[in-house]
Amino acid sequence: MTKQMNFRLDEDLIKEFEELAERENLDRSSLIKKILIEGLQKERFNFAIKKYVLKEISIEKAAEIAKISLHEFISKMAQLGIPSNLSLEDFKKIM
Amino acid sequence: MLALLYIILMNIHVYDACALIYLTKIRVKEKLPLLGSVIISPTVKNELIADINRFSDVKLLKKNIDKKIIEVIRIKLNDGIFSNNLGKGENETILISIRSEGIPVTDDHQAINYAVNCGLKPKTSELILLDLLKENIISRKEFQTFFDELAHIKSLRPDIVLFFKKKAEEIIKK
Repeated sequence: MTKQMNFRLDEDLIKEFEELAERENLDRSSLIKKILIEGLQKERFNFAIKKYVLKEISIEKAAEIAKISLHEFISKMAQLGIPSNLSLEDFKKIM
Repeated sequence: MLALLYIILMNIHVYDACALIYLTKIRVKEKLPLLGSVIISPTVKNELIADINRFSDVKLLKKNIDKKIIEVIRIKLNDGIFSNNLGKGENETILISIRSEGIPVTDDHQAINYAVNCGLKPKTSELILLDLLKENIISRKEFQTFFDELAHIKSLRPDIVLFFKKKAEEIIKK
């Protein structure tokens, strides 16, 4: 089911969407929808990573927020070189 | 030999998904039963076998679960033991560890702290590697290879890398 959502954009931005839509052979709303979905996924991932790096949530919780599997989350972290949230103090505490 | 048998019989390691994924990536997973039972919760099982067509490690993990090399223990989370900062699998891992007097194995800061607050003594992938070295299950060279790979995947900080290399040297000297 879809719902209508109205929002205002600058004319220049609309023009940019139209130009790109034409290049990609898409209609304007399909392109905006595609960018919104991709942007939302990226934003969710960035938010989850931020919370994880700040040690506010666990890695599993972060993957849950990012709405991706733990395998994918770990793989993306490795690709981006994001360090594990464990500190030396954590290790000293348990050894 | 007897000492190793004693360890296997006595130790129950309850792994969360993150630790098992890392240990699978560095090809150490097959050696884990030599340190004790490899236990996971139902949620951890689901996390491990998700995305089976995209990640090669998943097929290996599924095979181990099907063969019961990795054993799944059913558990119901109760309200008393639950942290909102952890995922369901991590919470279940800690609860199973409490009930089975097992050792939770996790590679997460929040999960470690929660486990410690629950009176447990958690381990991480790095500590599992040290245990494998201590019990002569892996050689010094193998430890170095596995640890370097783990440090690379986890982007471990230099102070942590140095700390574990020193610990490994201490074990070797004994």
